[in-house]
Amino acid sequence: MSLPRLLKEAAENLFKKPATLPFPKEDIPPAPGYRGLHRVDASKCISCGLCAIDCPTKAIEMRVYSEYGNKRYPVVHYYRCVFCYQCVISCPKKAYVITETRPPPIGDKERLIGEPIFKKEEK
Amino acid sequence: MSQVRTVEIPIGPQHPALHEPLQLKLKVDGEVVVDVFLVPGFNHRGVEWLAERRSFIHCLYMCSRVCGICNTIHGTTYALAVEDLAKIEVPPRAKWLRVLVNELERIHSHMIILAIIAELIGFDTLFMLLMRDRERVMYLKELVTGNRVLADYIAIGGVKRDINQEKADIIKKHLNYIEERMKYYKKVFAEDPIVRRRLVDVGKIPYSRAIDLCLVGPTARGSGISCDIRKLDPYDAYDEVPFNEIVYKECDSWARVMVRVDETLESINMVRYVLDHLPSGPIGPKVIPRRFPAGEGIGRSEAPRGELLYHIIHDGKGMNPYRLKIRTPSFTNIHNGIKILVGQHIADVPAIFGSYDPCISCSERVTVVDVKTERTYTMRLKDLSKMKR
Amino acid sequence: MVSVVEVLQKFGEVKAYPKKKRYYVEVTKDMLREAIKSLIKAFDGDVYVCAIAAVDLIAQGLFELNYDIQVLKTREYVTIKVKIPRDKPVIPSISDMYEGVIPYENEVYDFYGIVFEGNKSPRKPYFLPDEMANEFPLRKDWKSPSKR
Repeated sequence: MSLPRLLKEAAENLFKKPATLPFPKEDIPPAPGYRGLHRVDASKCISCGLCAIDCPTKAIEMRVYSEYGNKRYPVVHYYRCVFCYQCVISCPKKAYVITETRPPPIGDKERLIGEPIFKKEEK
Repeated sequence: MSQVRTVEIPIGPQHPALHEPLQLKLKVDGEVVVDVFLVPGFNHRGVEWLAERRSFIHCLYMCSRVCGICNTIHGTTYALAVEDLAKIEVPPRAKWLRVLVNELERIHSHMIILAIIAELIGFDTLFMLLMRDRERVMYLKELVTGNRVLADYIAIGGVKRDINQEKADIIKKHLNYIEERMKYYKKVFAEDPIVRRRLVDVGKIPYSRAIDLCLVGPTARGSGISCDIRKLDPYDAYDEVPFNEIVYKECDSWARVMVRVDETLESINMVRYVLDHLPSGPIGPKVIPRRFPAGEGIGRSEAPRGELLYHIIHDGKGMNPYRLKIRTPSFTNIHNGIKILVGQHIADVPAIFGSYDPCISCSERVTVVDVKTERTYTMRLKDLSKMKR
Repeated sequence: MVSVVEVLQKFGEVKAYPKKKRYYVEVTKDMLREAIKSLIKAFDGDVYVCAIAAVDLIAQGLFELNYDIQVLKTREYVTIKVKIPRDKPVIPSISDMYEGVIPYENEVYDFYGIVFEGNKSPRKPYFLPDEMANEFPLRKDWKSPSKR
């Protein structure tokens, strides 16, 4: 009968460490390959706009940057993004830079945007 | 004429016995249920109406969010329907990778419903142990697809990312541990006397009644109908991966639970076979298709809960589909399966209802209910991903 | 063994989808119940209805209903199509042959307004709230309240 065996396992678990991960106290990184915050590399972008057309939640806005030659570059609004990465795949020049950073909890949603990378030191 | 006075018991939209938002009104005479009446419609989101107003690529992401637990299989079936419409060929490596991700999802979906059945019959220790072991499967899904629950992994014509040998070794190591634990749980469900007292001979559905009610999935396979779509109408690489179809003939709740336990063990062997025999080659289309010809396409697949069917009809004009019809397995199993409750005791109602594996998100998705949804539809798309556990 | 093609040939022309073992046939409204009865008789009752899908063809003034049926013995899948006029959408129901078809027919009534004669369901509308009893949202000429 397996009933006593379950009791034995339950009694042993009383003296072991709990199985819950102590997440905010210790920083536990996600598995490699996690889909985190992403931005575009402006030196490779050709302003075609395909990433904005394919986004299912309309989270990418093509904004005109007058100080960099009056061209349009994509800006990602993270509070509308679902991190499906369709923009990364639709881009014909593979211009998106991907990271494994989790989106932080933040009160003012308008501040959470991802601007294109213009200078080389930021990469 | 005899006068039978009955008491009406509402098991309302929020209730600790049901994990799902629907309303059951039971008429009881003493302890025996005499009549049952179902009020659905608490979770409508308007997926079929919205699909006529979004392009084909946006629909792929929306259809993945019809259900949280079975999101990979919804994406796969939509892709199968569109590939049937436009006659697109999928490369072999992409077919085998789709099998890998769908079987990982079947493992974690069966583990959660076994844990819920254990909780509904009062066995909380088994619930906690199953959920602890299920966390390893979520870690494996995060390795392969990038996220624990919503894996946006399928594209029209292939998959989106590849795996390498290092990840394959980590998956095999974790699967050995999970298989050992599942064999132990199989012994608990098959031989424990208290579990057997609550599940054997409860909620019997004979073979002919199950065909009359059009039931699908493990609910029907517990009654002797062999209706696994992976064998009846093979899609992707299921005609090349060997596995057994599990059918039990006892027709009661215990048989429905044992079908799911055995299917989990079969899925673990299938994932190992796929990792050993993956063919090489490209994984997706070179050009993303955006325009589709007129015609019809049908996609059928075997979700963890039964047979899933997508029927897409297009007239060739415009970027949006003309009509998209989704028939999920929980729609049939719940709305028809509650007719079995007549004649049972009240205390058996949660155990029978849990053995059908209800997933209300899947079963109600047809049209816009109130004006607010129309105005804030972009918020709904993100909220859908948080609605399921 | 008998095939679906031979059983349904007398009701209309049976064509095949590009994938193997999937067929479709178009029948008239009066022959629908005869077609389904002949399938049940030919295969000893091992036949079940997967779905009923309705399409609004507003350009031709018709509704089209697709009955998707799976035959378990020969592993074949057939779609029976019926076309009915848009200003008088009435069709006989098959709920006496299959009790499990009642939720499918209720759903089609809720969203298109097609009346199934013989369907004895106690509550109409089934999914929608009672205030929307006369509105049929999936028709192509329905406008949502915020756009009126």
